[in-house]
Amino acid sequence: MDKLEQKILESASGGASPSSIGGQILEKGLGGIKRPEGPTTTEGTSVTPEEIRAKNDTTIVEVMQDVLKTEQQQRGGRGRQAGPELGSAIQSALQATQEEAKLMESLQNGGGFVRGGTEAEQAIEAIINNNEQEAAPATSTEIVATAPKEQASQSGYSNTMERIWKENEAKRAAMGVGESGAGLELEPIAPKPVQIENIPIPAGEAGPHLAVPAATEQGPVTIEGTFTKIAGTEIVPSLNTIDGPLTETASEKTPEQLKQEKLEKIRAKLEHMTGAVEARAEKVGMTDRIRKIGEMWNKVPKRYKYMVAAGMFLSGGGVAALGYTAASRVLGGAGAFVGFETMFKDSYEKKYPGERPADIKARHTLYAGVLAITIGALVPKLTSGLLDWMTPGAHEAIAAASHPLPQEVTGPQMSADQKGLDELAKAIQSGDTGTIKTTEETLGISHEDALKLIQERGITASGITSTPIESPVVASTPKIEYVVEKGGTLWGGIEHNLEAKGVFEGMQGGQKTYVLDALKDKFATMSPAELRAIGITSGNINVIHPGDHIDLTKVLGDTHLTADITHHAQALSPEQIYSIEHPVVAQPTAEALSGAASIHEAAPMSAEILPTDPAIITAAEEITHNYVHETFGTKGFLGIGAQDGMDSIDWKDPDVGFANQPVEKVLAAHPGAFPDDGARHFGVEDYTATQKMQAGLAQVQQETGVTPHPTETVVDYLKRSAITTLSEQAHNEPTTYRT
Amino acid sequence: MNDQELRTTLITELGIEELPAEAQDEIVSKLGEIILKSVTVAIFEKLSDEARKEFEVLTTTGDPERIRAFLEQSVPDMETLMADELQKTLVAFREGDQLVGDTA
Repeated sequence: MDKLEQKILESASGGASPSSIGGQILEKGLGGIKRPEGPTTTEGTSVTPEEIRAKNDTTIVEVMQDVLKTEQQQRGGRGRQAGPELGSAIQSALQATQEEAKLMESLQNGGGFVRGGTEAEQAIEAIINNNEQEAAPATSTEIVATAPKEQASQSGYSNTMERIWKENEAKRAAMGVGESGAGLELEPIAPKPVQIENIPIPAGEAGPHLAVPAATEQGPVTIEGTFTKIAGTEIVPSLNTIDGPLTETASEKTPEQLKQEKLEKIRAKLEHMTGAVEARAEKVGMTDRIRKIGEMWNKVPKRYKYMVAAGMFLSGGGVAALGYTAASRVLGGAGAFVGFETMFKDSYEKKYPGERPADIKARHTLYAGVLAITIGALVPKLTSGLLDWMTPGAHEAIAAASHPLPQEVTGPQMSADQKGLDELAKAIQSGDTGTIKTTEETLGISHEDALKLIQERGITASGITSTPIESPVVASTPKIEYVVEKGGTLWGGIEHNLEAKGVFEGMQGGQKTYVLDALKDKFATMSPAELRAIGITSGNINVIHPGDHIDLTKVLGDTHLTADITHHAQALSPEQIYSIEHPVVAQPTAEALSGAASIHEAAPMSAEILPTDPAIITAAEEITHNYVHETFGTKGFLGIGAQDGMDSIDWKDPDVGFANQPVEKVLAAHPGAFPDDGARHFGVEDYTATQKMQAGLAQVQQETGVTPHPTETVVDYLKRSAITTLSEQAHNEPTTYRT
Repeated sequence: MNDQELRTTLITELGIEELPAEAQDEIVSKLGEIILKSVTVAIFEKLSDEARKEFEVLTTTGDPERIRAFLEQSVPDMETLMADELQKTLVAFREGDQLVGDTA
């Protein structure tokens, strides 16, 4: 077997060697023609040349396709070389079919074209040579079209092949396929079925906006052919969506990929917004200036960025959400830029005379704060201290300023009046009378009604600030409420609550009084506004009304406080206890009288002292005042909550106050130490106060020798006693004022 | 409302709760910056050329009272301007509407 024969056999057997590509093509190109075994004779053939030509035409495309496939499989990673080799292979295949046809024709015509003949060898050699050429037609159709022109030989053999080619060309022309391959229709490859059930639905995107064919309910739907958009199935962006519409092409994406995709979209949007702002800035010639604003903003710590952004964002569409008090503490505290708030205020009041509503104030403060940052960034000299408002406590106020939130955020439960009541509760607690007034006006309710609503809804200032105003102990303690009935007192309310808890078990009367007094003093330190906030509508602990719902939690709920006071009460000495149970009131009187002496020394009396002498009368009134204050006054804590005794309910109450009670009645009074109703009483109805007053009257009478008239009131008696004493001291002789 | 609650509220309102914390910080910071810039630009757009020059002079003095008086006179309805600008910016972010001055 010579070299050419060997190559033919290799090609025919589909050898795996690189050179066998042409063999495979040849075999395919033969279209199933049986290779003659042994010497080739005409008997060994079973097809006619016409059949071969027909076969050539019908299989040429198939050959090309198989060539493509084979080329890809065998060239594998040598993709870069596939083009030239592919072109060469296809060309070889065309030639092979032509050679084969000619061979068969020669056999049938007895033209001596036998296996092993010269012409055959030349033909085979041409095939092999062509296989090794590196010609690289651009496309397969070009290969088909240009193959004949690339035939190098114009021998008889070539002429024969050209004739065959022309015949085929004519057939192709009849089929509408041009020389260049134009109009050649390849058999369409059916698209791979798409299983909808296999298309992953992005997390969080499920919903009515995803249109799914009804057929999916019965089973998987296979979409064949082109994947087209179904009308009306556009994905509508969800609430606050920044996703934008999804792409039409279903793809498998992990949740992480979807998040990243969303982030990129947001970034793109923010970048777009930034670009729009910068474009506007450029138009007004302030590109550099807004860059400074960015630099300024970047210096702001992250936590404050959140706060300011929240203030701006949450109030952007409805600024009423901001509370003025809290907002003013924060944004309005930007040092020199407080003036901006004044600017907004003045502008508003020019249009709308009168006090600004609380929500308007809040908005103005917010805007002033924004200006403080933006303008401050543009005025370098003012940047110092600009961020001073970002003090450690500022974040709490900003948080408060951002709450309550807009209706759309909080839902229907946070109604406008609820926001107002929250603000009102804060104002009451802080004693901000201006805000109290404006808020109540805005709400259109009276102060009493507002207090009732606050009470009913359990609104406390601690619930609307980031840092509870009350101690944590209070925050976690159930509400301790005292509902005042007729004759009730704050003292009685405290006493009743502590007795129920067993606090007084084992205590003597003096110890119990000590505890009650200490706790009552805590309430006495509260401002009238604070007292109103806890339900004492009068704002005075000594004046409570039936129906008041007094919240005692702030004091009695503080277990540390009550425990401390109880501990001190239990540590009292017997003498101290006795002293409490038997208060000595003579000393104040003596002090008062000695005070008169000092007055006398400071301002010597005239020789003739008359009852109408202004100096005596003034001095007597001073003595009386001092005595009453020492007896019934409250010092408070560091002056807070102090009350003049003349203003105490024990002294001035028109019904039971000692001032206008007859001395005789007071001396005869015996109020119970533990009233049956459990309520606190005042003046002549109160056990402790009456004891003090009786002791005082007795001592005055003893030391001055002045006897009270039968119907003389306490205040008149005290004044007359003082005048008598002063007059006698001045004249050194008894006066007629004693009687 | 503590810091965390404030943050959660804002993040939820912005619709970016599922994103990583770092990404949330980035978005909040950027949005805040855009708002501040947008407001400032809106103010300047209201100023005449002469007023802009005057403002430049004022910024060199650093006198807050004069700046306040200038703004009060030059932008009499500052409140409405700021309210509109805030709302437009936020709406643009939330709904993807076209921005003010955005002809793209």
